Amino acid sequence: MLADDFRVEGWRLGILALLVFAAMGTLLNRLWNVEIVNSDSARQQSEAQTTVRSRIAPARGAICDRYGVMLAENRPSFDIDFYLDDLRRDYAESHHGIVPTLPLPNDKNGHKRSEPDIVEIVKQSIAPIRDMLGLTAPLNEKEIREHFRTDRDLPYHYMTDLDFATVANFEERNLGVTGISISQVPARHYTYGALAAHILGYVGKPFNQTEHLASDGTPYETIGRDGIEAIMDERLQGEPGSSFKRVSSQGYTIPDPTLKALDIDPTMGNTLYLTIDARAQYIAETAMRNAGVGRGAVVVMDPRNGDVLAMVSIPSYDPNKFIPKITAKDFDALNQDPTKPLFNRALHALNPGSTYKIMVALAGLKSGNVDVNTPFDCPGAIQIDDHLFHNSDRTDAGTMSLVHAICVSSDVFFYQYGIKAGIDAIDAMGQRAGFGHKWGLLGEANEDAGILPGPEWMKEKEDWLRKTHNIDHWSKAQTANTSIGQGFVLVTPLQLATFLCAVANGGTVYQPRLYSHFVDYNGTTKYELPAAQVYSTLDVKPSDLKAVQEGMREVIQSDEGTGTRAQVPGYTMAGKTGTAQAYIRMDGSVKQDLKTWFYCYGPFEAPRYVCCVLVEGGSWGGTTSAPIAQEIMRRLFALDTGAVENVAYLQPAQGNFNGVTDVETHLPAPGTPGAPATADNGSPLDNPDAPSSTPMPDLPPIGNPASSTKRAH
Amino acid sequence: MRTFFRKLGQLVWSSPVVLLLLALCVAGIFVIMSATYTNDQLKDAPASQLKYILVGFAFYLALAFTPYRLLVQVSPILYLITLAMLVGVFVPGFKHKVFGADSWLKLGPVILEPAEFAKLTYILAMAWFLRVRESQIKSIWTVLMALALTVVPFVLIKAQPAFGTASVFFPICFAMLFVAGVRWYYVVLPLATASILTVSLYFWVHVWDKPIPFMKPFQMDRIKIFFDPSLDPKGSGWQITQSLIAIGSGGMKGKGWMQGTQNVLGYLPKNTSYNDLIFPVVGEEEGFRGGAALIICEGFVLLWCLWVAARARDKIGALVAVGVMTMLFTHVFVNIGMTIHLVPITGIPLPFISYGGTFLIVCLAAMGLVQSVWVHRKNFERA
Repeated sequence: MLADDFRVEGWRLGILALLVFAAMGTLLNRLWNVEIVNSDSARQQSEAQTTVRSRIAPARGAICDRYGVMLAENRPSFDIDFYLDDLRRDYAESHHGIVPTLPLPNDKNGHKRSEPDIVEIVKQSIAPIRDMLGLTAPLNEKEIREHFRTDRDLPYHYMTDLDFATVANFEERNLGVTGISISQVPARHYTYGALAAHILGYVGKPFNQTEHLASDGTPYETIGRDGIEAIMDERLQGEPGSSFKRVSSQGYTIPDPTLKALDIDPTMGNTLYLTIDARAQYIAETAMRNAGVGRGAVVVMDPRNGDVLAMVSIPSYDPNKFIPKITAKDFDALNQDPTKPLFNRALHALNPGSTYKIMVALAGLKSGNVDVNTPFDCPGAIQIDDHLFHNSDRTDAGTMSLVHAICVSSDVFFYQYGIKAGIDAIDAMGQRAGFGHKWGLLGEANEDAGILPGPEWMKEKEDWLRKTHNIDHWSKAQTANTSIGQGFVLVTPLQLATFLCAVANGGTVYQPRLYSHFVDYNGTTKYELPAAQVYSTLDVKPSDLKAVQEGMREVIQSDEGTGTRAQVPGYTMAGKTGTAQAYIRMDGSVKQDLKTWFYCYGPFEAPRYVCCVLVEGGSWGGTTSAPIAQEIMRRLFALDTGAVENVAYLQPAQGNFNGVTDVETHLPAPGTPGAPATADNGSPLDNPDAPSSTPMPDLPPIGNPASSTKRAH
Repeated sequence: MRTFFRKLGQLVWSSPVVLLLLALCVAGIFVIMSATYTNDQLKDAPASQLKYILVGFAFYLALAFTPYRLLVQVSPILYLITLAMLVGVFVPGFKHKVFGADSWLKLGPVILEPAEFAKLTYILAMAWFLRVRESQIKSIWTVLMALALTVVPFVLIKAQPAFGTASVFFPICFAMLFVAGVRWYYVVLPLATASILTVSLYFWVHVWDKPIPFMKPFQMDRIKIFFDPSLDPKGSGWQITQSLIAIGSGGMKGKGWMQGTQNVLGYLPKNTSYNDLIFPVVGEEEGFRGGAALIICEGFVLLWCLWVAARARDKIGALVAVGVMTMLFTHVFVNIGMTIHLVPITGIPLPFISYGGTFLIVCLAAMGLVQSVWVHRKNFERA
């Protein structure tokens, strides 16, 4: 038996006790450091790894007309999303952990590697619902694999914009396949289809993951690709929101109501108020369609402040086709259409023809070299330098002065008048009027500056002119040609309308304005663009301006005028016709393609509207374009007296080449010296310097579909 | 019969300790519930733990009333039986593999871990041995022979492999040698050497980033990752990284019972958060307050063991109490220490809290031994 009274030495137990105290103290101290001192960083790490943020797409700001009529808004779009990692996990669970794999290249140590064959997994996962729901969209295998490798936590959009039947079917049968769900995202909708398509533009998916990121560093769902959508994209975009979910270490998401407080609602982008009046736009669009115009443009403005009320380009397209994504077939069709439906003709510069005479008239009066009563003898043709310049009707009209010359649009008068005024005076007035200048309403890229030709301009373009036209100095003949809006002169319909506003309102050139302000989601007005910004003044004597206005009034109101077909009963208007000779190459031959213009304003006593109509392939400004302007003005005036204009969904206006006519084969090709040009009612065929309709090298001939190709996605 | 009531009286006298043990065990059930409730395979764990607690306290009481010297006297035989069982885990027919380790022995309907029982019989055998060597206690041979007694179970358990459990034997050995009265430097010198080596390793590998001769790269990596788990947060550093996040994110008050995201969402590995990594669950859900309270309670149990050792009737009793104290101390310190990055991650459970039948029963039985030392102490014998 071991019974005894041996005891242990107390100090040795004491040391052990001290050790226990020290060890427990160490644990407590360390625990304090880990749990209290480093608590914040640990908490952050914990939150970071146990929560997953899902982005809530913001809605894009709406675009409406000046009275708040919605032109572009958002509608819900239903997408089928795949959560690829959930699909993989679910597959593995139901197949005893075995998933199909694909071999990958060996790693650097020569070990075999593989990855789950996600496409096969997706195929098998959707097989049961595929037939039931008619999900026939082919799988983009490459895209799915790439998405699985890089963003497997984010949903992959398999099908977008499902029809309601499919959505209802999916929900009703509760086809709760893990990893496949329907999500609702805002999609752009253009309320009136092709109405104002060229102003609004369209939106598309971002080209890559780095283009135009939102404040949270993720790309927006859609980005403005053309028109006002593109240039105002930044202000139209909303702020994305987020919601948080718990995620387990296995990657499953678990709902957690405590995270609700962290959720951020998305905010809608700013609503853009255009200066466009949807009714005026609709009037202009339908007037062009009613006239069967295949190519052309209309600009309607308010001469009192420069607001653009309507801007139409024919042919057009339905921007809804781009939502959510335009098919390659549709996009190719739009781009390869030789009438170029995507191209905004209201901002494209052409020869203005006789409409230019109004500016030349004012230039001459301001220069003092001529006055309202200066008479010019007007035979059927006159000799300038070495060339014979014909009047359009080749008849002797006797002596006349300015007002009557405007009324009958005499070319011979304006050849002499322009020469007497001088090219420098014409250019100076042109600059005041804003010709040769981009107004930048829809971005500089899609607008032509036009050409204000003269000795200065010639010097700049010397090399090109010598090469293509074999001319090296400015001649009187060129001044004469310019005076009737032929030759090198190019202006856009918008420029002409802007200029006419100044004529109508007594001489103030207002900066044209396409939008007035934005309103944010709180209803606060932002980014206001003030009305009636003055660009310059024409600075001519009121009596001189009156004379020009009187001439323009006679164009419409007098029996001798060239624009009598624009008369609106009960209203007095003023306007001017124009027919510019131009040629295009079609089917290998050169054809005549007249640009017929008419611009007018009214009522004459207190102008409220300026309307500029361009028809390509028309026959004569007075017969082709004036009636269209008449319909537009008549309906606009009717609006003011209480008529109702029911703005409806518009199908795109189809383009055509009607009105393009064959010309005699002996004519020289356009773009070379000696090519024909016409004045208002005819053609001084021996005009030496007339360029073709495509005088600038950057304006390719029709038939080259790449010329106005725009990117869309 | 009078003796029994006297013994019962002594037990009642120490009832605060019994209640403390009970409280720890019950708290353990709640922690285990939190750690397992999302895991269908473990949904019976809290109920099982309750059964183990009842069995454990049965052992506790039985041993408390058993004179410890009787047990020490038969300890050489118990020691040999234990060794046989430790060999048995490798014998086909008896072995029962779990998680790739041969730790379990199947004896008819009972499946148990001999390594855990080995701790008890080892403590008793060491007490017996040191008492036998009383006259030559200062001899170096006493130390060497004690080490021999220690190495045998260590090697057998390490071969299972269960390095964590095996390593518990050396601290017990050193503490019992020290208390038995061997020359102090026989104990202090090896410990000092080990400490200096650890510190050197820290500077050599972690601070200066130097290689160790004859060490394979993966072993070097393990050492490096211990000092800096962020080198491999998703791999071998995962457990310590997640443990630190769990405890750290608890803060002072904790996230609340069953509310710890690290625990519930499985960032603390589900297969260890209810046993070896149970302390992070406490730290995350009950906060610093809960964690510190647990440490203090465990510390109190340890100090009580030492108190019993000091009041023991004889040297054998003191040695048994110190052995049990050291065993529990090692588990507490290493288990909690590894979750707060004081010691490397090792697979040993936390006494009274971690899920696991054998270990819990062994811990309570060990406390029963200490209780026996208390019940049979000198004052009581004289009375």
